[in-house]
Amino acid sequence: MEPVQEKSFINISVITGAVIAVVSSITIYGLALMSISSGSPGVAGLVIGCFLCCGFVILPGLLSSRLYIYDIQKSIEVGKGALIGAVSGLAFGVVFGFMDVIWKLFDVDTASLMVEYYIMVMQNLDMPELNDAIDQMRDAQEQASSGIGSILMNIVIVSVINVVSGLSGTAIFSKKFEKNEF
Amino acid sequence: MQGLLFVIAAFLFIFSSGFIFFDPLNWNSFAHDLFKTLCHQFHWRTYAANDLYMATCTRCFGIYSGMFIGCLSIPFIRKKIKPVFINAIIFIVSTLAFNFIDFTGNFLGLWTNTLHSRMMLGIPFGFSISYLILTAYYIQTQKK
Repeated sequence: MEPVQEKSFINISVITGAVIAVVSSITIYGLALMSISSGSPGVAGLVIGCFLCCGFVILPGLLSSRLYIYDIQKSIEVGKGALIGAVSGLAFGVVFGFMDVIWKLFDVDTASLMVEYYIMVMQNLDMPELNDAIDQMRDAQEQASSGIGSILMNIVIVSVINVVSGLSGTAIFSKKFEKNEF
Repeated sequence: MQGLLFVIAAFLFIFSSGFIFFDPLNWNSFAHDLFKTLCHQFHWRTYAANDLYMATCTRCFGIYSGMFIGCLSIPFIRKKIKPVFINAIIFIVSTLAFNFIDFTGNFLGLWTNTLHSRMMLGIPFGFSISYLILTAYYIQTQKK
C-alpha cells in the first residue's frame, strides 16, 4: 500500500502572504495619506502604531499555518511551521515590495510618505527638540538604501520573522487536532 | 527545531542591537536598513552608544532579547517546570495585553512611558514567544 502524500502547503502560504501584503500596504499607506491630509494622527495613529510594528508583518506566518492545519484537519510538527512561515513571508515581502511600485504609479513615494506621517505625529505629540528629531529622520531616510537591495533586505527580514510566527501559529493551532490533549 | 529558533533569535538580537557597542565591520547602517519595515526606528526611542543608535526601538529590542533569553534558558528550566500548553497561551496573551495597554495609554496621553519601561515590557513578550514554541515542541516530542 502506498503511503498517503500530505497536501502541499505552498499554495496556501503564497496566497496568504500575497493577500496580506496587498491589504497591509493599502491599509498602512492609505491611513497615512488620510492622516496627513486631515492633519491629525487619529485612529490611523493607533492602527499604524500598534500594527505596523510587526503586526502586519507577522500575520502571514500565523494565518497560513492556521489555514493549512484547518485544511488538512490534523496536527503537524511544530518545525514544519517554520517552512510554512518562511514561504508565506517570502510571498509577503515580494508582493509588499511590488505594491510600492504600484503606489509610485499614483505619485506616492511610500518611504517619504511614512517620514512625513511620523513628522506629523511628532508635531502632535509636543515633543521637545522637535526640529532635531525631524532632521534626524530626514537624514536617516536619505542614508537608507533603496531599490532592489532594499527590497531584498525586506524579503529576508520578513521571511525570518515569519519563520517565528509560523512556528508560533503551528504551536497554537495544532493543539485542536492533537489526539491527546496537551 | 530548537537550533533553528536559537539561530533566528540570536540573529534578531544581534542585528537589532545595531552593533552600537562593537561595530568593527560598520554594520550599523546595514542593520538599520534591515529592520526599517519592522520598526519606526525613532532615535529618541532607542538606546545609543558611541554615536550610534540601535536598529530598532527599545520595545522591539526587548522582544528580540526576550526571545533569545528564552531560547537560552528554557531548555534548562524545562526539567524543573513541566511544560503546560495553556500556561504558555496565558503567558503570551497577558504580556501582549500589557504592551498594548502601555502603548495605548502613552498614545492617549494618560501616561508617558520610557525607554526602560518599553524594553522591560518587551522582554517578557519575547520570552513568552520562545516559551510557547518550545512548550509545543517538547510536548510533541514527549508523545513520540
